[in-house]
Amino acid sequence: MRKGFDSEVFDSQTVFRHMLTAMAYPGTISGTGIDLFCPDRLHGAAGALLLTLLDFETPLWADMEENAPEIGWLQFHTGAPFTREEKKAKFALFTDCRTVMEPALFNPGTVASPDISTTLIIQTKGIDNDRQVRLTGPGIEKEVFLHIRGITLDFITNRMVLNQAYPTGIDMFFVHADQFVALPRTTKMELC
Amino acid sequence: MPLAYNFAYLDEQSKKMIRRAILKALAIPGFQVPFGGREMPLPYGWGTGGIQLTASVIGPDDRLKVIDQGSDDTVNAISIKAFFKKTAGIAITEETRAATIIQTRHRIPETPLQKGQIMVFQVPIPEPLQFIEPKKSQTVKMHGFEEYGSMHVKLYEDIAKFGRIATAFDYPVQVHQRYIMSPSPIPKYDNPKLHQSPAIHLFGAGREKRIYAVPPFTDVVSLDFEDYPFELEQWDGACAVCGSQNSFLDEIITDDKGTRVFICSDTEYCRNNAGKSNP
Repeated sequence: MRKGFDSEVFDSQTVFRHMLTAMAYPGTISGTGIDLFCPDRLHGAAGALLLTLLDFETPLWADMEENAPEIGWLQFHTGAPFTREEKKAKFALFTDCRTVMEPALFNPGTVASPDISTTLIIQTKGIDNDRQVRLTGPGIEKEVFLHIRGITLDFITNRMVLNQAYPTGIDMFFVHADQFVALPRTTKMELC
Repeated sequence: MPLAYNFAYLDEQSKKMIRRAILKALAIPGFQVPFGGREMPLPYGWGTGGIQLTASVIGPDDRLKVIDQGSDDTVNAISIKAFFKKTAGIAITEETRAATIIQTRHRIPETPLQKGQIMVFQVPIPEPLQFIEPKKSQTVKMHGFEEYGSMHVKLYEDIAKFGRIATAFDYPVQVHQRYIMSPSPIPKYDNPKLHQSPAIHLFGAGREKRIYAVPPFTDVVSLDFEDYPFELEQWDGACAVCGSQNSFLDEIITDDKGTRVFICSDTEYCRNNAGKSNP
């Protein structure tokens, strides 16, 4: 089995601080602050985010088979249960962003408990601040531009529909290699 | 001597659970996220919620500032600083500008906060509707369906009785045009500092086991009426130590004949300001 964090305590803290800042300032592209070698199909940042947040309380859904080595690695280091039911997933991992169509398949939480919702971690073909979508909302002073390579137009449209149901919703991290960007449900996305 | 505790006291699984709650709190500004609050080695009411947040966020490179009612030197601030020095070997600062994390009991520093700084508020009563509706099962529904009329009735009753809104601290705010939130018992003087602040504001209630947040650049509006707008406290004099007229002042009785002076509640701001006027 490939090793996980060098230091469970300090690597998870470093990665979490980058996630906290990314979630607080949506659209800002961030590194993870650590070096992590993940199994084949897992991007470095996806592995780091999941090792930081997963444990026995957080069912994981993924667009892979349960016996895939990537899932085995995540489960070995975190003890997270694997689920095939989208609504039960606390975290969902997409290794191929072209297959993410309908975020509403996952759990958006309830009006009373919007926090009990799935967080998506989506691997992309690249993220930069080119003008594909314009982001506004909490954490963004005026506007931020973001370009997510490989994401489908359907997905962007479906996310806009889902966001109208605020405060319920789905929060997302888009990942490429060792970089990631957060899009909480409050972030408005418009096509440029 | 080797550390007798895990870094920052909490075990790693507790930190993970709290970290997940923090991310959800930032994604739903003003919403109180329930979390599995842990027993801390100090009583409820001494900042157990804030300490759990700080412990889950802090790393070896951080510089921590802790204030209690604006002061760096009061007992709660001193003991929390001692706690993190002992369990995490963390660098302590009194300078607002130099701090990466500021844990606070009931004040926001006068020095403007910067992008990336993290404020951690200690919250005794996270539910702003508790004094209107004591049943948690009901307040959850009131938040869910945005049933906030009774909050305005409470403020109106103040006007009917006293001719003005008499709430001076823990003054309710509406965050991101959605949730009504308790800003913790900060004076209402500090409420405008939350509005569109560049910093990250995290709130932790240990006894009530709730975490909530105001992300940066988020609308935070103090509730009021068109004909009774939200107003800040004002003082006739200036700070007796530094002469500041733009700072929240505490009244201090100086003898047993009722002589009183007003001085800045924010000790770090007052010291820097006094240094500027008398170099």
